[in-house]
Amino acid sequence: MDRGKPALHAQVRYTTVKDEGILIAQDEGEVHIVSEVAAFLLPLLDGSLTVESLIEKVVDAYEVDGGTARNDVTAFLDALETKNLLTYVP
Amino acid sequence: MSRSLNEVVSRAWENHVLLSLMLELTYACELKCQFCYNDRKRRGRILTFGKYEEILKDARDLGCLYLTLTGGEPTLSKDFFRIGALAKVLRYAVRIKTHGSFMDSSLIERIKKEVDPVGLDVSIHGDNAETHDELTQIPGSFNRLLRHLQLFSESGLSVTLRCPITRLNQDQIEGILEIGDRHGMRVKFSPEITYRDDGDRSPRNLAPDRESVNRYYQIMRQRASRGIEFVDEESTDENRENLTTRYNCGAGTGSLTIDPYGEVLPCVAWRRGLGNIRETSLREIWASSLELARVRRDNEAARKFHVDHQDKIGGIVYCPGRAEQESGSPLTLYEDAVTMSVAVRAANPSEEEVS
Repeated sequence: MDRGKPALHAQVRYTTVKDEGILIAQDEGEVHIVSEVAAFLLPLLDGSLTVESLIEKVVDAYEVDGGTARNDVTAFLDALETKNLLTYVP
Repeated sequence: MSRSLNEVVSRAWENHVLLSLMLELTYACELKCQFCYNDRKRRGRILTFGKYEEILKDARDLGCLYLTLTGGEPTLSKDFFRIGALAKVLRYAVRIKTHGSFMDSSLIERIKKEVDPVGLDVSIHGDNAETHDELTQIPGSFNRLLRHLQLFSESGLSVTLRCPITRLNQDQIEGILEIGDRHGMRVKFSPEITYRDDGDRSPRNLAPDRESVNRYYQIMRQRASRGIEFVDEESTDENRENLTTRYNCGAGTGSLTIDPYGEVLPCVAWRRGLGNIRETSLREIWASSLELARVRRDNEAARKFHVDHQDKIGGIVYCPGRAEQESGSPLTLYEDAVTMSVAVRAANPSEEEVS
């Protein structure tokens, strides 16, 4: 089922430092350190790309197989959604 | 700061990732604080919004996450809301340093909606009107501030009260903490009063006495901090012992300050000019300023200097900016460092190592 394109909530702040990312959930007052792939994905979560496009970008950038990329991307998006940091837009 | 965040901050400094930026938007201010370090006689052309747009985009590309808007009183900058709104769009974690005395509910609401800062630092200078107003030199400023603290509480904004300890308020630490507790706000004190940025030493006449600095560290040892960890020169100073890096501090290694006229500095306390944003882009200064390269070398040397002098300045964070301001050299045993070290060690008798 196509859920739409993932977009970070406005309260999320982030940056990348070398091979890791810092993600701040302002409303919850939480700071998370995220992996290199997650840090790569954060700037792309602006509601303009489908999940399939994000998987393709990870495959291209990290030269991993599609299955691994799909698992990584969906796991990260699910974690963000569970924490109410991400929504899907049409 | 969590262990992982410490590791990332250490890596940022080691690899020269600009993680934190402070913008002094204006030196205009309604208050006339006796100890203020700003050189308010300085004149020049204030940066345009277009320049700030370039700075914010460049800094974001360089990895910057933490943005502090300060002054003077930053809300007096005509571009304050445009800069704040752009920072929000670019997903900066923004902190605003304000005296808070002239904010009404509509201004607070606008800040929340348009800037959405991670936090506000609001200045307080005493636990009563007489002391606060004497230090700000504006009658009525304390009572206005108290009214506004109530508004801040109701707004849902995360507020930290900031208090430089002076001879006039050094006996009011508990009282100021009580005001913070009443409003659900953290209070952070600074036991350091510095020279003015033009070299005027008169603010030092207000520096707290040694006994009060000792007392301050004893009081604060009992209090735990809370809230979002904002990475800036102060938080990394407080947390220095957990960072694994060859550098003394983030000045020029992971952070910068820019004054209202575009002068780029390693830190708000280390005001060595690295170039002007009107002539050279932030990107270029960060990548290839020769003066910045010297600052990084001095910063590394400051770490070694601190380690070598832990018998005199152990337990505190050494500030090469203050050392340079007071003696012309970033490697000097300046008076406050020695005083604070004695106080910290008295409050924490088992902690003898360099922080």
